[in-house]
Amino acid sequence: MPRIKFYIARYLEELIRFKWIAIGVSIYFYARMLKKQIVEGSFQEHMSINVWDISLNIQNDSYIILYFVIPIILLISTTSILEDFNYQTLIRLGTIKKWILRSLFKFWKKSSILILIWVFMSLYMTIKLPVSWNWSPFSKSNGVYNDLFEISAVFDSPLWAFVLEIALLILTFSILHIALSLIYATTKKKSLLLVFCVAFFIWSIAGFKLLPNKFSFFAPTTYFSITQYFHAFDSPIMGVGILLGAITFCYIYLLLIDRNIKQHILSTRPYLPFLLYLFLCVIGIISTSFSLTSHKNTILDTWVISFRGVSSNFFTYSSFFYYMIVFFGLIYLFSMEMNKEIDRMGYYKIIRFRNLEKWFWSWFKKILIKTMLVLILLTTLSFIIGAIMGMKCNFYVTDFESSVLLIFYQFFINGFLQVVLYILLIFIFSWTRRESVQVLVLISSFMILMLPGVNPLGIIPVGLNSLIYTENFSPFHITLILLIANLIMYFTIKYIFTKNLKI
Amino acid sequence: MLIGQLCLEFKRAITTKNILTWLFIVFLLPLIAFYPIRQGYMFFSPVEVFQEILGGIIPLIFPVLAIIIYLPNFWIEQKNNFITYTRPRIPLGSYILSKGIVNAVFTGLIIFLMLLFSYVFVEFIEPNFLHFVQYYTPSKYNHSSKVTFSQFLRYGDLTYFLAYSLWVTLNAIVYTTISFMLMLIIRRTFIALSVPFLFYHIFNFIVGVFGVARFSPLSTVFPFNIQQQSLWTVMVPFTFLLLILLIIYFVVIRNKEEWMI
Repeated sequence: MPRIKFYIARYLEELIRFKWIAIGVSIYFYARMLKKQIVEGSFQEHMSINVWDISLNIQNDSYIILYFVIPIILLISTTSILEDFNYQTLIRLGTIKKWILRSLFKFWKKSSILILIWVFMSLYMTIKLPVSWNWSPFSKSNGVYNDLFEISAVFDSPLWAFVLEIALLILTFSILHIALSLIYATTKKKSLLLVFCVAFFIWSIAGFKLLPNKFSFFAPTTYFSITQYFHAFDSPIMGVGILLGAITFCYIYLLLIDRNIKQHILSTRPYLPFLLYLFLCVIGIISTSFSLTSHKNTILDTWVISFRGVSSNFFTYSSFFYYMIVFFGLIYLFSMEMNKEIDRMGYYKIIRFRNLEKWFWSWFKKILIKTMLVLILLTTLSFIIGAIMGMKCNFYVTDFESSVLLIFYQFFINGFLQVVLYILLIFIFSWTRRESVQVLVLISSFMILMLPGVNPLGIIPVGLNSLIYTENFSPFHITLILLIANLIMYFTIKYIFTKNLKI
Repeated sequence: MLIGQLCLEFKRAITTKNILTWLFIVFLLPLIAFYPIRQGYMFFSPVEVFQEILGGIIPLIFPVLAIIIYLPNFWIEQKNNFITYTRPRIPLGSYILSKGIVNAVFTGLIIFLMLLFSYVFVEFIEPNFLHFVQYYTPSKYNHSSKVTFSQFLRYGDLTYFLAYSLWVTLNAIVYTTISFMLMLIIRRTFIALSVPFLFYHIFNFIVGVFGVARFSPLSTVFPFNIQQQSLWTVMVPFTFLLLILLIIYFVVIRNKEEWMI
């Protein structure tokens, strides 16, 4: 019991300090002006007002929030973080998570006073006004002076709006403080914290003044006032979703902050290029599936249209770029791997094999397996994305003339052969020339050979795995061309290996 | 010291292999691009032929052109640990700076000369000596379509050419400088060299996916595949590039001790 008494005494002591009184007085003067404005407005429109008009308007006024509450909250938050973050406290608490929770508690000790003064002033201004538990006729009217029209339609009683406003403030303040303390705890840089605070303030002003209503969920002021909140969202659930999302993000971050995640992130680094590649592929498939109609097209269509590619007769920039990303991206990844095998590991590995061919096959077979796996992965991904986008799960293709089996043959067999051909060509170039720039030159010349009109007979073995080729060419004809080209390249490599090697 | 080093670098850059590459880029590339469009197209003025030449294969190889003009020379010096042995002779900072300047100058110059040759070819050589292209007179239904930068056409063909080719040159310089600076801080040269290439093609793809192709590097540097846009659109990817350049510059300056030399 004496403990609680002590806390209450400390709290009251804090409450009557000069700075809070100064804040209260400044709110008082602004609130008086606001009250005068509202009362005049109600006289002009000949409608009566009650206590809630004044009190809710003062609590939801954007100017108080923007130029008064947000700076003060940022000040309270940063000072409490900077004062409290020291190694003695951290050692006593043990983890950063505990420190953040404690700092949140300390923050609330101060900012609750701000809310208290604010609410008190908003209630103090209602003296001499009629008390009622319902919306006044003025607040239900759609007038110029009245900001409460939208929420008066949502809530039965103004008391609910009042309670929810305070709940919203508590939630938003907490998220803001946790975010700031997370930033400081991870970076431990004072300047970054201050920059973030200034940026947040400027962002609030810009968001309030400049953003159109459609994008007002970007503006922080939306989450400080209940009237703006209901003004911004058609369905308030979305706003709750955003706030909950922010809380979940903060919570997950809070759980992870004491772990050594840097190590985990570093261990994913070798896979980063592949993940980026996969991400680009997925974006492409998604954008294709947006262009299809769900009740007409099937999941096979998503796949076929995505990997349609280009031929001499059919050319669109989107499918050209997508082919480039998928297949040339893949061979770029492989060429990075080959660059490692030849230039960096070559010295050490080649002497361990009896001849160059064994060394070649030691890593080349891995690339062959990876190629097949990537092709299967791309197909599966496009089926899954097609299914998620609501395409029909039928096993036929609507947009193409040729049969499904032939398309599968074209994608897997010819695709495999084509990618292998690219890789062999790149190997020959990087083995003989020893200049990594050659790979980029080679990929660029592949791109040129795929332009419309360059390859009308389908003889140049570049880009022949585009699914569009099944329309005019027999896939077996393409297989033949690719096989011959592959064999030529393979024997060229064998021939090169018999020459002296210059590492 | 820097001036002397610059002169030396200029002299050293002129080797037979480089000259051949540059001659190929300046003369043969525009001719190769001209070959498929010499007949069967409807042209009203030489400027359109010029635009068509630049709209064909050159946009696809542009980032590669930017990096093969001078950077392989620097790469060989890096690979053979040549730069270490220049340190007694000249401060490392001046040496790298002179390399950067020479790289930017040569890349810009060769790209500009390529455009200049295309322009001279379509304006003077082709109509006077070769006569491959048939010019039509514009009518009500057939008239030339406008592209970005043809805003300058009303000040004359030459002004248009100068404004446009300066723009392409500027882009080439930015791309090659990004690569050059990355070579100083990334151990794997292949990745450093391919960053402009990857940026160019991936950015093209991504803006295509989001349906804002007018901001793609391809359509801002070579704006012949889309209809005319206002001039500010070209600044969007360029600003992005400059931002990348600036960030890399600060990283390079701060890690002076860890340069790959």
